[in-house]
Amino acid sequence: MAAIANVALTNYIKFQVQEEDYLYHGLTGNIIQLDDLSKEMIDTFRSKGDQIADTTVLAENILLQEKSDFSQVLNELEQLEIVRKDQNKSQRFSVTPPAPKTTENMPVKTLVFHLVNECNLRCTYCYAGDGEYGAPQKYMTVDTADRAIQFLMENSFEEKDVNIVLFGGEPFLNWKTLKYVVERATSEGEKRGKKVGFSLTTNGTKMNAEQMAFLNKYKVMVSVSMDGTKEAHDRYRPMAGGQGSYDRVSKNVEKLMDIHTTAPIGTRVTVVKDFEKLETSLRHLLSKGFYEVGFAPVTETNMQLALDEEDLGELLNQFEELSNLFVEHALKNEYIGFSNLTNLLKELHTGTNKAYGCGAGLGFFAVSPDGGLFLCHRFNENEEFRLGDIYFGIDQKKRTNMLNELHVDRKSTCQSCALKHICSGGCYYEAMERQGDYRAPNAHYCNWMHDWITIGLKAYVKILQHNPSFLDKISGTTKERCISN
Amino acid sequence: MKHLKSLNWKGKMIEQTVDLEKEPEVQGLALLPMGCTSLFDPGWETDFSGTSLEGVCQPHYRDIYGCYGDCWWAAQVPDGLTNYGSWADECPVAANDWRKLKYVKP
Repeated sequence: MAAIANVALTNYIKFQVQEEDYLYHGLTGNIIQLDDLSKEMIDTFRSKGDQIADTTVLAENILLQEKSDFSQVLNELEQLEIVRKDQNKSQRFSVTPPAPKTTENMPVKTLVFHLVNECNLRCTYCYAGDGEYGAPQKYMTVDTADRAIQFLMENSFEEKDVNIVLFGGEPFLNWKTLKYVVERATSEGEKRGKKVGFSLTTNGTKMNAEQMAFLNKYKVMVSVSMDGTKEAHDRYRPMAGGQGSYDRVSKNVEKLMDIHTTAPIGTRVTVVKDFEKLETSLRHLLSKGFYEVGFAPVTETNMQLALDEEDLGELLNQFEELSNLFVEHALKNEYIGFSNLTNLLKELHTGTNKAYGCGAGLGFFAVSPDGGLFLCHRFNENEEFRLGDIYFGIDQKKRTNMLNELHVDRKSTCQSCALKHICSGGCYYEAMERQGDYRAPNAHYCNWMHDWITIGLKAYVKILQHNPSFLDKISGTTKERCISN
Repeated sequence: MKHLKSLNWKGKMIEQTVDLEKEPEVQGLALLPMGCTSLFDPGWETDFSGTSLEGVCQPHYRDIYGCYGDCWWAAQVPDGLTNYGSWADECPVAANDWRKLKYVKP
């Protein structure tokens, strides 16, 4: 007697929009509309099969006994690699990109410059501990910056587009080096036929008109950290002296919008317990002239600040409200800058297939004021995550090992998850803080991410039905950038 | 695909790849020339060298009878097949006699 052949409906989310049925397949990134027969088959699958996370397994003969026509759907699903019959059959669209065997030839594309380990604000929730990262050296000298630029130029190999992130602490506290980095990297790039893109994260308290004109000249993409209205902002973002920072930032932002017109200016809201209504924050910040607003939950172990289950539920409800607002405008061909959704829609459109939570250690590194190389800016000055330095180069052995450890195939709970290739386990720093191990998947966000991605899928389908070109427009280019400050 | 419809850019690419590998349901008649559109070698009418390089930049009048006479290519010339059968009677060689072509008034 032949062994019973099981079929697996793999890594999927089923969802509905206006009573029509759709399926998102996480391994291939395909979003599919189902007809009546395929809907019926999937319902049968779900009612009779065994569910392992987002994967359902069922014996083929049981399925076909129900209705022999199901074989047509099964065949189509197998061709699209959504259903898997034979574990040994090689797959093309659904495979996870493997961990790199060697890293010597992998180009560095983005380098975060910690220009200074110091900040003039004392944000209650800051992961950098007042911007100092507990580090000995505070300021990056011009000499170190120069060497770091050389490092990027040499280690980006044939890459034509490279990025420099001007970061801190508060980068404006080391304006001399900041200015040098931008001018020097631009001319060095021109010499080598590379285009250098700059982005800058600032608290917005320390910019004068001359500096703004400089950012404008070099098309630096600026992100100002603001938490919404004055009341919300001043709650957790005080100056070192204790007074609120809103008025100062607000005045500078107004000036910045006038002077800096060559690159979009965005803002980032850190979402902390008892947060202000997001729509209020969004509308307030868009009225200041920001192109986009991104919301990021705080990374905290202190549960007085961190979001608990209830807060996360509320965050999700409000994200859904903002998404509905976004769709309403998108159908009129208007853009409401809710960047969390914009980024998600881009990923859904292009069918992201990632084996890593982010680009850290692949093409993305942070350099500390003394020239040390770190996995990312959030691990700045943490020796465990030091991957060499700009003088002697990357510690390739440590890099290869770390990338092996961080690969999504090492995260057992991710294997049957529909978000395996889009979340890939999430942020390593967040995992270290909340799960106690940087290699662990961010299990505390799993349900939340499923719900959020389902909201995104519904928004995607609604926009696709009535204004499909909008999706092509927003997906024009994607940049390799970390989503967390 | 009869039962499933890929909606996003990625899904469409996958479906396209899968479709390309199937046995075609319809095949072009490549061996039976039915006019230049079935030959897939633009420029053949001005290039007898076989290199596809000669005469590829000929002025449009080289095509005029093809566009006019049997209308195989839509162009801004009168249609000789149904309405203006004698339009080019006085112009046997377009390169020499193009001045003799007349305007038509539809």
